[in-house]
Amino acid sequence: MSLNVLVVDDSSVMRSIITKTLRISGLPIGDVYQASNGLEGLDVLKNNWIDVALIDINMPEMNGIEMIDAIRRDEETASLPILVVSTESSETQIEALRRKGVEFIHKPFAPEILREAVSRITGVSNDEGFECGTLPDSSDSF
Amino acid sequence: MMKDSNAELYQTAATVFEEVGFMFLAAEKDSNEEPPMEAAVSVDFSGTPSGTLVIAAYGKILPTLAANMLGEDEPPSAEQQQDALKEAANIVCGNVLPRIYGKANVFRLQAPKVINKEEASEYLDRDSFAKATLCLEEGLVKLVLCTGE
Repeated sequence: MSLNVLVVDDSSVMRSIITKTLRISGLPIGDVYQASNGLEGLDVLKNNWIDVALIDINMPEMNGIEMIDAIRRDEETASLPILVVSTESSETQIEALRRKGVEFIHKPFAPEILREAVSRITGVSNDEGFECGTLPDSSDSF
Repeated sequence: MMKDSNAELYQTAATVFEEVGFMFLAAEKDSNEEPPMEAAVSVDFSGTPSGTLVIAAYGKILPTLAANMLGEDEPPSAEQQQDALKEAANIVCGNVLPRIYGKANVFRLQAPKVINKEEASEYLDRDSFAKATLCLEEGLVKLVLCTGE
Protein backbone atom coordinates (compact mmCIF):
# COMPACT_ATOMS: atom_id res chain seq x y z
CA MET A 1 0.00 0.00 0.00
CA SER A 2 1.34 3.42 -0.91
CA LEU A 3 0.64 6.97 0.18
CA ASN A 4 -1.19 9.34 -2.13
CA VAL A 5 0.14 12.83 -1.45
CA LEU A 6 -1.20 16.30 -2.12
CA VAL A 7 1.43 19.08 -2.38
CA VAL A 8 0.02 22.61 -2.21
CA ASP A 9 2.44 25.48 -2.85
CA ASP A 10 2.27 28.49 -5.17
CA SER A 11 5.87 27.89 -6.25
CA SER A 12 6.16 25.26 -8.99
CA VAL A 13 9.83 24.90 -8.11
CA MET A 14 9.04 24.12 -4.48
CA ARG A 15 6.31 21.65 -5.52
CA SER A 16 8.90 19.93 -7.69
CA ILE A 17 11.48 19.85 -4.88
CA ILE A 18 8.98 18.36 -2.43
CA THR A 19 7.74 15.79 -4.95
CA LYS A 20 11.27 14.66 -5.80
CA THR A 21 12.26 14.52 -2.15
CA LEU A 22 9.27 12.29 -1.43
CA ARG A 23 10.06 10.05 -4.41
CA ILE A 24 13.60 9.37 -3.19
CA SER A 25 12.66 9.19 0.48
CA GLY A 26 12.20 5.46 0.58
CA LEU A 27 8.63 5.94 1.76
CA PRO A 28 5.96 4.08 -0.23
CA ILE A 29 4.71 7.03 -2.28
CA GLY A 30 1.86 6.50 -4.74
CA ASP A 31 0.31 9.33 -6.70
CA VAL A 32 1.52 12.86 -5.96
CA TYR A 33 -1.03 15.56 -6.79
CA GLN A 34 -0.05 19.22 -6.99
CA ALA A 35 -2.03 22.43 -6.45
CA SER A 36 -0.90 26.04 -6.49
CA ASN A 37 -3.29 27.39 -3.84
CA GLY A 38 -5.83 26.31 -1.24
CA LEU A 39 -8.81 26.37 -3.57
CA GLU A 40 -7.11 24.11 -6.09
CA GLY A 41 -6.00 21.88 -3.23
CA LEU A 42 -9.54 21.47 -1.89
CA ASP A 43 -10.69 20.59 -5.40
CA VAL A 44 -8.06 17.84 -5.61
CA LEU A 45 -9.18 16.54 -2.20
CA LYS A 46 -12.79 16.33 -3.37
CA ASN A 47 -11.95 14.21 -6.36
CA ASN A 48 -9.11 11.98 -5.20
CA TRP A 49 -8.12 9.75 -2.30
CA ILE A 50 -5.35 11.57 -0.45
CA ASP A 51 -3.44 10.07 2.49
CA VAL A 52 -1.41 13.13 3.48
CA ALA A 53 -1.32 16.81 2.48
CA LEU A 54 1.77 19.02 2.47
CA ILE A 55 0.65 22.65 2.52
CA ASP A 56 2.40 26.02 2.27
CA ILE A 57 0.98 28.99 4.19
CA ASN A 58 1.53 32.07 2.04
CA MET A 59 -0.41 31.50 -1.18
CA PRO A 60 -2.74 33.60 -3.32
CA GLU A 61 -6.50 32.91 -3.70
CA MET A 62 -6.74 30.80 -0.54
CA ASN A 63 -3.84 30.57 1.90
CA GLY A 64 -2.76 27.49 3.79
CA ILE A 65 -4.45 28.36 7.07
CA GLU A 66 -7.80 28.88 5.33
CA MET A 67 -7.34 25.58 3.50
CA ILE A 68 -6.51 23.72 6.72
CA ASP A 69 -9.60 25.19 8.41
CA ALA A 70 -11.75 24.03 5.47
CA ILE A 71 -10.24 20.53 5.65
CA ARG A 72 -10.89 20.27 9.38
CA ARG A 73 -14.51 21.50 8.98
CA ASP A 74 -15.35 18.77 6.43
CA GLU A 75 -16.01 15.49 8.24
CA GLU A 76 -14.72 13.52 5.23
CA THR A 77 -11.29 15.15 5.48
CA ALA A 78 -11.21 16.28 9.12
CA SER A 79 -8.68 13.65 10.18
CA LEU A 80 -6.38 14.03 7.16
CA PRO A 81 -2.70 14.11 8.22
CA ILE A 82 -1.33 17.55 7.31
CA LEU A 83 2.24 18.79 7.21
CA VAL A 84 2.78 22.51 6.82
CA VAL A 85 5.95 23.34 4.86
CA SER A 86 6.56 27.05 5.22
CA THR A 87 9.00 29.84 5.96
CA GLU A 88 6.81 30.80 8.92
CA SER A 89 8.99 31.37 11.98
CA SER A 90 6.68 33.06 14.45
CA GLU A 91 6.38 30.88 17.55
CA THR A 92 2.82 32.13 18.01
CA GLN A 93 1.83 31.15 14.49
CA ILE A 94 3.50 27.76 14.66
CA GLU A 95 1.78 26.98 17.95
CA ALA A 96 -1.55 28.05 16.44
CA LEU A 97 -0.93 25.66 13.55
CA ARG A 98 -0.15 22.78 15.89
CA ARG A 99 -3.45 23.39 17.69
CA LYS A 100 -5.16 22.66 14.37
CA GLY A 101 -3.61 19.20 14.52
CA VAL A 102 -0.91 19.71 11.92
CA GLU A 103 2.83 19.16 11.92
CA PHE A 104 5.24 21.84 10.75
CA ILE A 105 8.61 21.95 9.02
CA HIS A 106 10.51 25.06 8.14
CA LYS A 107 11.93 26.02 4.73
CA PRO A 108 14.69 25.37 3.87
CA PHE A 109 14.45 21.76 5.02
CA ALA A 110 16.78 18.79 4.79
CA PRO A 111 15.32 15.81 2.89
CA GLU A 112 15.48 13.59 5.97
CA ILE A 113 13.43 16.13 7.95
CA LEU A 114 10.65 15.92 5.36
CA ARG A 115 10.78 12.13 5.30
CA GLU A 116 10.70 11.87 9.10
CA ALA A 117 7.79 14.29 9.36
CA VAL A 118 5.69 12.49 6.73
CA SER A 119 6.52 9.17 8.35
CA ARG A 120 5.51 10.47 11.77
CA ILE A 121 2.14 11.92 10.81
CA THR A 122 1.13 9.00 8.60
CA GLY A 123 2.52 6.17 10.70
CA VAL A 124 4.29 4.86 7.61
CA SER A 125 7.99 4.18 7.65
CA ASN A 126 10.63 3.28 5.08
CA ASP A 127 10.10 -0.02 3.32
CA GLU A 128 8.21 -1.44 6.25
CA GLY A 129 4.67 -0.59 5.29
CA PHE A 130 2.21 0.86 7.75
CA GLU A 131 3.01 1.09 11.43
CA CYS A 132 -0.51 1.25 12.76
CA GLY A 133 -0.89 3.01 16.05
CA THR A 134 2.68 4.24 16.32
CA LEU A 135 2.12 7.92 16.72
CA PRO A 136 5.17 10.13 16.99
CA ASP A 137 6.93 11.21 20.10
CA SER A 138 6.40 14.96 20.10
CA SER A 139 9.88 15.50 21.51
CA ASP A 140 11.47 14.27 18.27
CA SER A 141 13.26 16.52 15.81
CA PHE A 142 11.13 19.63 15.76
CA MET B 1 19.91 45.13 21.27
CA MET B 2 19.20 45.25 17.54
CA LYS B 3 21.28 42.71 15.69
CA ASP B 4 23.59 43.71 12.85
CA SER B 5 20.93 43.64 10.16
CA ASN B 6 23.39 43.67 7.25
CA ALA B 7 25.20 40.65 8.66
CA GLU B 8 21.94 38.83 9.35
CA LEU B 9 20.72 39.46 5.79
CA TYR B 10 24.04 38.32 4.34
CA GLN B 11 24.22 35.16 6.45
CA THR B 12 20.59 34.22 5.82
CA ALA B 13 20.92 34.67 2.07
CA ALA B 14 24.20 32.75 1.95
CA THR B 15 22.61 29.86 3.82
CA VAL B 16 19.54 29.79 1.58
CA PHE B 17 21.55 29.84 -1.66
CA GLU B 18 23.79 27.12 -0.27
CA GLU B 19 21.07 24.83 1.10
CA VAL B 20 18.38 25.37 -1.53
CA GLY B 21 20.40 26.25 -4.62
CA PHE B 22 23.65 24.39 -3.87
CA MET B 23 25.48 27.62 -4.78
CA PHE B 24 28.42 28.62 -2.67
CA LEU B 25 30.20 31.84 -1.86
CA ALA B 26 33.20 32.63 -4.03
CA ALA B 27 36.09 35.00 -3.57
CA GLU B 28 35.34 38.52 -4.73
CA LYS B 29 36.57 39.11 -8.24
CA ASP B 30 39.21 41.76 -8.87
CA SER B 31 37.35 43.16 -11.85
CA ASN B 32 35.38 46.30 -11.15
CA GLU B 33 33.02 45.46 -13.97
CA GLU B 34 29.67 44.29 -12.63
CA PRO B 35 27.82 41.68 -14.68
CA PRO B 36 24.41 42.75 -16.04
CA MET B 37 21.28 42.27 -13.95
CA GLU B 38 19.37 39.14 -15.00
CA ALA B 39 16.20 39.58 -13.00
CA ALA B 40 14.88 40.88 -9.72
CA VAL B 41 12.03 39.94 -7.42
CA SER B 42 10.43 41.54 -4.40
CA VAL B 43 8.55 40.22 -1.39
CA ASP B 44 6.27 42.61 0.49
CA PHE B 45 5.65 41.84 4.15
CA SER B 46 3.45 43.27 6.84
CA GLY B 47 4.00 43.26 10.57
CA THR B 48 6.14 45.32 12.88
CA PRO B 49 7.68 46.65 10.79
CA SER B 50 6.21 46.29 7.29
CA GLY B 51 8.42 46.52 4.26
CA THR B 52 9.87 44.90 1.18
CA LEU B 53 12.76 42.53 0.49
CA VAL B 54 14.31 42.79 -2.98
CA ILE B 55 16.72 40.30 -4.51
CA ALA B 56 18.49 41.07 -7.79
CA ALA B 57 20.59 38.48 -9.65
CA TYR B 58 23.54 39.49 -11.80
CA GLY B 59 25.49 37.37 -14.26
CA LYS B 60 24.38 33.75 -14.70
CA ILE B 61 22.78 33.03 -11.36
CA LEU B 62 19.31 32.04 -12.55
CA PRO B 63 20.00 29.01 -14.79
CA THR B 64 22.17 27.38 -12.14
CA LEU B 65 19.82 28.21 -9.29
CA ALA B 66 16.79 26.79 -11.11
CA ALA B 67 18.63 23.72 -12.41
CA ASN B 68 19.97 22.90 -8.95
CA MET B 69 16.63 23.44 -7.25
CA LEU B 70 14.77 21.33 -9.79
CA GLY B 71 17.46 18.68 -10.14
CA GLU B 72 16.61 18.05 -13.77
CA ASP B 73 18.93 17.44 -16.68
CA GLU B 74 17.02 19.68 -19.07
CA PRO B 75 17.81 23.40 -18.95
CA PRO B 76 15.16 25.21 -16.93
CA SER B 77 12.72 27.45 -18.75
CA ALA B 78 12.69 31.22 -18.25
CA GLU B 79 9.56 30.83 -16.13
CA GLN B 80 11.24 28.18 -13.95
CA GLN B 81 14.27 30.43 -13.51
CA GLN B 82 12.11 33.30 -12.32
CA ASP B 83 10.13 30.96 -10.08
CA ALA B 84 13.37 29.73 -8.53
CA LEU B 85 14.46 33.27 -7.70
CA LYS B 86 11.00 34.05 -6.30
CA GLU B 87 11.13 31.01 -4.02
CA ALA B 88 14.66 31.88 -2.88
CA ALA B 89 13.43 35.39 -2.04
CA ASN B 90 10.45 33.97 -0.16
CA ILE B 91 12.69 31.74 1.95
CA VAL B 92 15.23 34.49 2.62
CA CYS B 93 12.48 36.89 3.67
CA GLY B 94 10.75 34.34 5.89
CA ASN B 95 14.01 33.52 7.63
CA VAL B 96 15.68 36.90 7.95
CA LEU B 97 12.78 38.76 9.60
CA PRO B 98 12.69 36.58 12.75
CA ARG B 99 16.49 36.63 12.87
CA ILE B 100 16.43 40.42 13.07
CA TYR B 101 13.20 41.09 14.94
CA GLY B 102 12.78 37.89 16.98
CA LYS B 103 10.52 34.86 16.70
CA ALA B 104 7.80 36.41 18.83
CA ASN B 105 6.93 38.82 16.02
CA VAL B 106 4.34 37.83 13.43
CA PHE B 107 4.99 38.77 9.80
CA ARG B 108 2.68 38.17 6.84
CA LEU B 109 4.54 37.63 3.59
CA GLN B 110 2.93 38.38 0.25
CA ALA B 111 3.61 36.24 -2.80
CA PRO B 112 6.98 37.15 -4.38
CA LYS B 113 6.73 39.08 -7.65
CA VAL B 114 9.08 39.87 -10.50
CA ILE B 115 9.99 43.55 -10.73
CA ASN B 116 11.67 45.34 -13.59
CA LYS B 117 15.31 46.34 -13.51
CA GLU B 118 14.60 50.04 -13.06
CA GLU B 119 12.42 49.38 -10.04
CA ALA B 120 15.04 47.03 -8.63
CA SER B 121 17.78 49.62 -9.12
CA GLU B 122 15.65 52.20 -7.35
CA TYR B 123 15.31 49.88 -4.34
CA LEU B 124 19.02 49.05 -4.36
CA ASP B 125 19.99 52.73 -4.40
CA ARG B 126 17.57 53.60 -1.62
CA ASP B 127 18.71 54.32 1.92
CA SER B 128 17.53 50.98 3.30
CA PHE B 129 17.42 49.11 6.59
CA ALA B 130 19.81 46.38 5.43
CA LYS B 131 21.85 45.51 2.37
CA ALA B 132 24.01 42.57 1.37
CA THR B 133 25.85 41.32 -1.69
CA LEU B 134 26.71 37.66 -2.25
CA CYS B 135 29.58 36.84 -4.59
CA LEU B 136 28.92 33.44 -6.14
CA GLU B 137 30.82 31.64 -8.89
CA GLU B 138 27.97 32.34 -11.30
CA GLY B 139 27.61 36.03 -10.51
CA LEU B 140 26.31 38.39 -7.86
CA VAL B 141 23.17 38.47 -5.76
CA LYS B 142 22.23 41.80 -4.24
CA LEU B 143 19.67 42.04 -1.49
CA VAL B 144 18.02 45.01 0.12
CA LEU B 145 15.58 45.08 3.03
CA CYS B 146 13.44 48.22 3.11
CA THR B 147 11.19 48.90 6.07
CA GLY B 148 8.47 51.49 6.61
CA GLU B 149 8.62 54.27 9.13
